[in-house]
Amino acid sequence: MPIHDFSYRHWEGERSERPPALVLGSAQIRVALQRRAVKLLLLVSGLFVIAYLGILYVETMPRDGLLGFLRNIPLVKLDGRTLQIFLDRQRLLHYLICLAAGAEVIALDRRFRTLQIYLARPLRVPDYLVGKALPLLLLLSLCTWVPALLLLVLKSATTASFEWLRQEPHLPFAIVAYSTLLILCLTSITLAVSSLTSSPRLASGQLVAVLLFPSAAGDILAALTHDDAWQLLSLNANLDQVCSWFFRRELPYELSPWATLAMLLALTAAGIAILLRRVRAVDVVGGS
Amino acid sequence: MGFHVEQLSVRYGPQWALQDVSLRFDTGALGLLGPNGAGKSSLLRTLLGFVTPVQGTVQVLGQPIGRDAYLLRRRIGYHPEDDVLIPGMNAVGSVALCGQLAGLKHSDALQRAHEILYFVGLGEVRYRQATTYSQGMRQRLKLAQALVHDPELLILDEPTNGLDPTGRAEMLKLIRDLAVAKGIHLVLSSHLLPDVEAVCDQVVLLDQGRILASGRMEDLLRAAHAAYEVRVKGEREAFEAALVSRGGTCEATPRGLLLVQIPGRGVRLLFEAAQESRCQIRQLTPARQSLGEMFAHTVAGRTHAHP
Amino acid sequence: MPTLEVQDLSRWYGEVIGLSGASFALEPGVTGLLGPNGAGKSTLLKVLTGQIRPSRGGVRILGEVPWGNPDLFHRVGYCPETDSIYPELGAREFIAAMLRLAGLSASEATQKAGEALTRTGLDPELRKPMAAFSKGMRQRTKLAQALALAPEILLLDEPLNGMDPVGRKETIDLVVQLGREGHTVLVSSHILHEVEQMTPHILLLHQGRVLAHGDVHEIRDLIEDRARSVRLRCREPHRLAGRLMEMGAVSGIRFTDEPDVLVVETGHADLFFARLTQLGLEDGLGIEEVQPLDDDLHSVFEYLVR
Repeated sequence: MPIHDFSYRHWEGERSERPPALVLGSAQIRVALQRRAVKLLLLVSGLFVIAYLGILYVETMPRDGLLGFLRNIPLVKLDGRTLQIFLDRQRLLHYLICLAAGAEVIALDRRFRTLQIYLARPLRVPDYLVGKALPLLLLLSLCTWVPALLLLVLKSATTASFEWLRQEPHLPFAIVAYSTLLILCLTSITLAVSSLTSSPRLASGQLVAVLLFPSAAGDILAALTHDDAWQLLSLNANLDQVCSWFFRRELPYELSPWATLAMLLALTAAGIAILLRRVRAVDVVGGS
Repeated sequence: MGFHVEQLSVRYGPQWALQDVSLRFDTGALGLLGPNGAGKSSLLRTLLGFVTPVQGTVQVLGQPIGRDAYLLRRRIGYHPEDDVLIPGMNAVGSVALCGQLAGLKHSDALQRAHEILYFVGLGEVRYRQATTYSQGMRQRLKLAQALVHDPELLILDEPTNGLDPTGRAEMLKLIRDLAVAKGIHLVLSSHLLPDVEAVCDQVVLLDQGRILASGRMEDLLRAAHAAYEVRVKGEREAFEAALVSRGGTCEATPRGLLLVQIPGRGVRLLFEAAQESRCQIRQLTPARQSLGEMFAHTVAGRTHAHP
Repeated sequence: MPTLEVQDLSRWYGEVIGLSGASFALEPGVTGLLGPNGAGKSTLLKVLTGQIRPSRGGVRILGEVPWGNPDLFHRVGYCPETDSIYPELGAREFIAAMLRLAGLSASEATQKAGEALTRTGLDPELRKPMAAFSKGMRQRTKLAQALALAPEILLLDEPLNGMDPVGRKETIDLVVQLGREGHTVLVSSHILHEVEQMTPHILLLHQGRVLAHGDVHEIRDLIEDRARSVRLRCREPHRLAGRLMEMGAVSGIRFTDEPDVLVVETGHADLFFARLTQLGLEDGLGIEEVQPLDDDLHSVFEYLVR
């Protein structure tokens, strides 16, 4: 045929078996990475990692050498303590990542009623939630266990032995467990807060409030009443406590670590419950 | 085999949305009509697999709806009534994403996205952010999202909402082309009966969860009685008088037409009356019941709560 | 006696022009306000309802200027396109509140609100808050609110939006009735088919200017550069074709797939139809149907706007 039909063509291709949650997730990751704030935060986290790589390098220098004298400064070494510092001193960064790559995500979808489009595909609510969570899961991982485990491996490579690790065998577990808990908890809370409103700005504001105020309240009440039980209110405190517990260090608060663990798990579960409630499938076809 | 429902009943809590609905739609374009609260949305939700019926069987595209109902959405395209959008992406990106979510490979989806955007008339603006689109463009974008994965069944909910007359005509032309020339089974749900008349060849009318009428458009609209719609230019009263004197009756409609009934002798009578009153006959067509009238007559008998 | 007059009306927003030298006058009866998107319809309605001031030119409604003249709006009813209601209130409460703002006493307001609601087909005793109303019910409430004071002028912006076919038909009948009662009704809509059912009288805006104003068929007659297409069904199409060519006034004849149908083009409508009416009396031809193909509002719109 010399002239081809340029109107609607039927599709004859092969079907892809990629799970829709992953498809949605990668699209969301791409969108998140386009934001300047996210790129900046990743850069800052990268600087942290570079600093620690520097420490690793310095550790290989002899003590009396040019750089080696730096080793006399306490904390210029890579061990359980400094790895814990690496993880929990980035707390603010983690919060900011949640704000930049998670706070508005579901609120925007509510505003533009995007869920109707997604659910009209072979995609179910859990798939949608996983897809929406993927950017946060990825970004937070890139700022927690991924670099931490990498540093661990590099240290073993540079010392050519696992001796130092045998002195602190709890480290890999501590890194992974704490990171997982942090990531799940923060992701769940961020998405839950995002699903409460259809205004993206309001969602960001609400997230800031949720992350800050209970922590501040917990601190104040604990100071006033001299009772650390109040710190259960504070997300910060709970995370600090659990982190120290996993890293087998001195617990910062007089509070049962099991209680703080339970609190964090409860918060995660509450977030998921809110999400499932707010994102419902039946409203796809509006009207009656 | 578009879809086939048998004794379908759907309930939300204590409220029955659909009761004992049996309907078969094989091929072509089906118009879904009904007052607000009739159950149209519930029927659509059932076909899309969002709602489990309390009773009855549902088969869509030859497959029964069961646990994996959501997989059927690979073969169904849905154009929602609401103003929906995927934020943060341009048109090509969002249509390609829709394609991928429906099971297309990334490269296929991207290729289709470009093609489909041209087909719906958004070719020139496909790299723009969807949030900058006007109302008309968003309607077309919704259609593109519904078509990208080449569905066998296309469900359209108020596709001409908010479009100006030119936009509406173009949209209806696109839809008709899909149903007639491209062999896609089409279900059109709309309150705009002229749209449905223009596109569909079958109609089903729901009210209060039950089917009031269903069948081919031409069968349902056959005129109730032999009458003609006539427009004349000239002295209308004189024409009417001349007509009445020959045994005809006539009635004015707001559009400026006359609804005329004449005894057996045929339309020659009308030309005689026109000649006598020195008028021109500008229009003479058999009165056909419009879809709106059929709708009104059929629904009128029922007492229902006002929408 | 025109009830609404607009003289050389212009309105711009910075560089963007909404209306550009529009002039027209409306009499009692129903007029359809039409135009593509961006033609200036919403700007016109905003000026007419006193929400914005003209940049140039004058508007007079019932002899008065709408800008800064709230009392005028006791005699002008407006049904906007947007959902401008208070969701917590019930329909009757809402309308009664609006009426009280206009100065009516509480009992009068409630009564008139009830009458208006009945007229648009809602139950005045319904206590549901409007947040729970369907789109069609909200539309009826807005319409009732516009009608409540029995204003002489009614400005309706897409009044059928969201209504189901029953509601649409009832509203069309209501508008026709209001026109017959002597109100001046200006209805803005994109659904040409429905405007046609309300009135043959239109006001067409395009690019901020008045493109056409008057009866659709008269306007069609004035579009001289487009030959009219008329579809004829008769028993002897070929013989009819011959007679048509003999009598002149025809610029083209086309046969179609249907065996008894002709499509004729003519540039001289009056001459053609007068002769056709005579041909209708000739026995050998058997003319059964005469259907103009581009005489309706949709065609007129397309010809003028494209």
